[in-house]
Amino acid sequence: MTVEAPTSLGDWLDRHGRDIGLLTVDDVVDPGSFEATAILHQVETSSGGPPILFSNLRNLSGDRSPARMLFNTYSRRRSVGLALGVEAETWNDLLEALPEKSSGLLKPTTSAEAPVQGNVIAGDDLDLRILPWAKHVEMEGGLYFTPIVAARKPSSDRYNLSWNRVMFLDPTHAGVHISPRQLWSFQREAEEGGEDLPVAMILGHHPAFNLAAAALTAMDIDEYHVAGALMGQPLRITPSITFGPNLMVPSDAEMIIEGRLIAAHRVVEGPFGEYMRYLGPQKLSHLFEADAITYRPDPIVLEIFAGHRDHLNAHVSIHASLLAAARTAVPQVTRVGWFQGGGPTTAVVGLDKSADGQPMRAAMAILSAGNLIKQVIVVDDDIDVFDAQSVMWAISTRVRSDEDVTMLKGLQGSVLDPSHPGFGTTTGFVIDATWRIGQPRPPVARVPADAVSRFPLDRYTLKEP
Amino acid sequence: MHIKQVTCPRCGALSIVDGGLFEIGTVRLKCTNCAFYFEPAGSPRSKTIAEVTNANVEVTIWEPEDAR
Repeated sequence: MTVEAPTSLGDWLDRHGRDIGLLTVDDVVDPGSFEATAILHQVETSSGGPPILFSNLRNLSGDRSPARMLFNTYSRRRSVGLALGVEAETWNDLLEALPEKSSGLLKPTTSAEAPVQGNVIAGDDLDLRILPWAKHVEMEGGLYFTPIVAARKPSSDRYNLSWNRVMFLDPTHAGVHISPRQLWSFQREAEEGGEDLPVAMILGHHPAFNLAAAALTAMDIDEYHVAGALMGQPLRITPSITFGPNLMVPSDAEMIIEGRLIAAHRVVEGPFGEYMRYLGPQKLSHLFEADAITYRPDPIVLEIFAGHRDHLNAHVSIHASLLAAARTAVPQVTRVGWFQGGGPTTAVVGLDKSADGQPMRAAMAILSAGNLIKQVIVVDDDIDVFDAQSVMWAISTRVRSDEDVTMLKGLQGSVLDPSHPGFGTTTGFVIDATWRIGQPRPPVARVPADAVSRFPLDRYTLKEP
Repeated sequence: MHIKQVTCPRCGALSIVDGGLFEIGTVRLKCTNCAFYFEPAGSPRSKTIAEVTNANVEVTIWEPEDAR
């Protein structure tokens, strides 16, 4: 069911704050000393991790930050749904609604007025230490943000949005981990021409804007258009302060750091708590040099609670893309799930199977949709793909390993997967845990439903010893 | 990404590093505990920066002022 989509991050908080369990912390908090995530951890343990807005933050200079900071935007299904204008009773409802939302691409509009440029810090005044950089989990290599990085492909007008981890290095530099996907290819194109790549690090916008950055889109699709689709309104853009029309930036963002990915330079960056719930190691990453900080009055930095549910759920657009890809290949696909523990490397496909061979086709479609998934388990649709116990029951009772497990070598994987050998390939598998067509299925051991009706429990006295 | 465990020679803290970066050996790592920069002990120095970064241009390693 659709509901009226929020118009902005502030509108989402104002209209749905109570509904999504928003908590606000007005005490002075230093996110650079784990103070914010210590609070998040304790609240998550006791009440399941609602969104938390920190309104009074200390920055790296020890002063009050100009920005507030919001964590756990995506920690709950309801908050994700309401960000997209969807009232979803289950994760599956949300996944079913997303493809339709994201297919309605909306061209951005250019605005003369840009709230995000209400305050501009550049030149000698530029200092990244005014921002509330955070430490999330133990053994992280530095202070981090998790912004959306917007970049234009050097040889075209197409924009990409990607979600990146960014580590503070000094008042004008940061290290950026970039996976070998679209932003990587943009930077490589610029670098091979001897050029830096202009980018905008967007620290907060409409909560659906960030989900566009996590979507799997074709190289020829402008992700500013995808952002408009998910937000339910065209993205307003404006020339950046530093690069003018050569880098258009979202007018209604909360805060932006403009700068460049420096060609032919890399920097040691990491470790950082990743969505697979391990720390990604210290590695060679890209070097960012800042040119300007711009922000609207009283901005809110939207930050991910790294390595926690907020982080995994932020991949909901990818999850929905996998369902759509599998169903395109095999219309009998009913659901696609993944687990909090397995994260986006293992997918479970539910299938109303009508022909043998469909499980492998559906699995191949998911494996081909991106580089995250390396393992696919296909089950009949009597199995709840979101319930690990149910999935393991199917694997335990419907699989003969010599016939139903297929190893797949030579796959591109995710460099954040700890089992993955850097830039080499990885190995995955497909488990077909469905019954064969025509094979008699053993009846499931159940007490007859009519017996339960005939002998209701309230007729009896159950005594404790 | 294969990881290697490294020990800071100054404070003894353990940290994890990308196996490729470890195998370069000449790029200094940063201790996550005391911020000391050091070359990893035991590196086979068998990989180049070009191999590990997969870049098509010659790459310079940048370090912040506090590392110099």
